[in-house]
Parts: sequence; structure tokens; C-alpha cells
Amino acid sequence: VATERAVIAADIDSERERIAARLHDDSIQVMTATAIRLQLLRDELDRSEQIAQLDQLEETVRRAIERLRQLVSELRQSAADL
Amino acid sequence: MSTVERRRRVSVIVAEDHPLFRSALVDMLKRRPDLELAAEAADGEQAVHQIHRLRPDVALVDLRMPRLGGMDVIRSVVGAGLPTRIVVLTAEGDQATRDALVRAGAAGCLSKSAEAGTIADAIVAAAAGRVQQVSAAPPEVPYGLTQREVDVLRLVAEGHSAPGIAKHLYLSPATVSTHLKNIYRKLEVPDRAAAVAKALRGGVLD
Repeated sequence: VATERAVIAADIDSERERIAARLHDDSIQVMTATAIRLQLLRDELDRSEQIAQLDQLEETVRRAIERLRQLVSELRQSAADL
Repeated sequence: MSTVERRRRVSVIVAEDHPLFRSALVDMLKRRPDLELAAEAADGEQAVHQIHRLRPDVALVDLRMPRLGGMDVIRSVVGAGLPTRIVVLTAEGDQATRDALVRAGAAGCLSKSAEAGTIADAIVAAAAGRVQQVSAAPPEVPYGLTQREVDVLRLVAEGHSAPGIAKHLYLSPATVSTHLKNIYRKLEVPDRAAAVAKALRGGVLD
């Protein structure tokens, strides 16, 4: 039973790491690319209400990135705890 | 003619394995009249090959890439005595990694979440021989100002006119005037002098 448990724990551990790596290497990169493109767009806008909306959009994307980062660190933490 | 127009453009190689992130960086470079894209690389091996072949002024290099990482690229370029300066982008951004990169010869080290303008400025600074480190988490700016607005504010404090600021930051004068309006609104001040005074008091500018 102890061996089986160890095998299951190792499986969960590697699955968590796989998900964390995908979030880190793909999802976060895509969101960061989005943030850069929003900044490029901002430099082309002239109307303050448009810029204000874009700032909010960029802030939203930044929050999403922060949450994904938090999730990555939680996944890695719990993988280490197993 | 301004000094920027007279200066030669800085040639840059972009080495980043994620295609969407790489294409965002490439578009950022293309919008800067002072920068010019020499080549793109999807991994460290391609980056080293292209740096040796094209000898660009600067290589913008991801720390983590397949085959060779950013650190390997630095070692290869520094080891071969090539003039190309290397600016590294990191997702992790812990201080120990950044210190190690700069010790190995990186001309700059920035977080991937740094603003587009900051990354472009770091490339220009690297080409000019300056070393720059920008921390992972962009520092919290008081009054909810964006980094761009702080850049504008700093130039105002240095006495630049709105057209001068536009030239400096490669923006249209209308965009600068919008930035100024937003700055006044956020700082709750009526004009430039009051904005600068409040920014200095509030620790936005040093």
C-alpha cells in the first residue's frame, strides 16, 4: 500500500509540474505578449477616453498574468509538499 | 535635425522561443525609428549562429530557450570576443539570476513583464555601453500613474516642451498632450509646474 501511495503521489506531482510548466511557458507568455501589444497600441491613440479604456484593459491583463503566476507557484509548492 | 535622426540605427537580433511573444517583441522594434531588426531566432543555437554571422549591435535574448539558454548565448558571444551586447529577458527575475547574468557579461537584464518602451530603451542603452537592470515587479507608482506617464513627467521636470517630449519618446504631440491631461487629472493639479511639484513631493520623481 505504501508503495502504491508513493507511485500515485509521484504521478500527481509530475502532473502538477506539467501543468505549471505549460502555464509558465505558454499561457503567461501569450498574456505578456498581449500586454506588450496593448502598450504599442496605446502610443497610437490620441483620445484620452480611448487611452483610459486601454489602460484598464492593460491593467486587467496584468492582473490575469499575476494570477497565473500565483497559480504556477501554488502548483509547484503543492507538488513539493507531496 | 535632432541627434537621434543623425545617429545610426541600432541593429538587433531577437531570440525568443515563444512565437507570439517573439512577434510582439519584433513589432515593438519595428515601431522604433532608432532600432532595426537584424534577425529573429527561435532558440539559443540559432541566436549564437546569427550573432556570429550578422554581428548586430544588440541581441535581445530570452533566458530560457531550447538547446542553448540565454546564459549559454552570453558565454559564447563574450568568449568569442564579439562586440554584440546582450540584453536578457527573464520570466523569473530573481536577483541572484540577474546578478549572475550581468557578471557573465549581459549588458542588461529585464523582466518579460517590463513595459515595451522600457525594453526598447534598455536596448538603446546597451548599444551605448550602459548596463541596465530592471526588477521583475515594476515598482508601484503613486497616484496610479503608468510608467509612460512617469517618463513624460520626468521630461517635463527636465524642462522639455510637449513637442520635445514627443520627439524624445517617439510619440505624436497629440499623444503627449493626452498623457499630460491624464497626468494632471491623476495628480489633481492644473498645470505643468504644479504637476512637477506634486510628483517630487509624492516621490514619483527623485
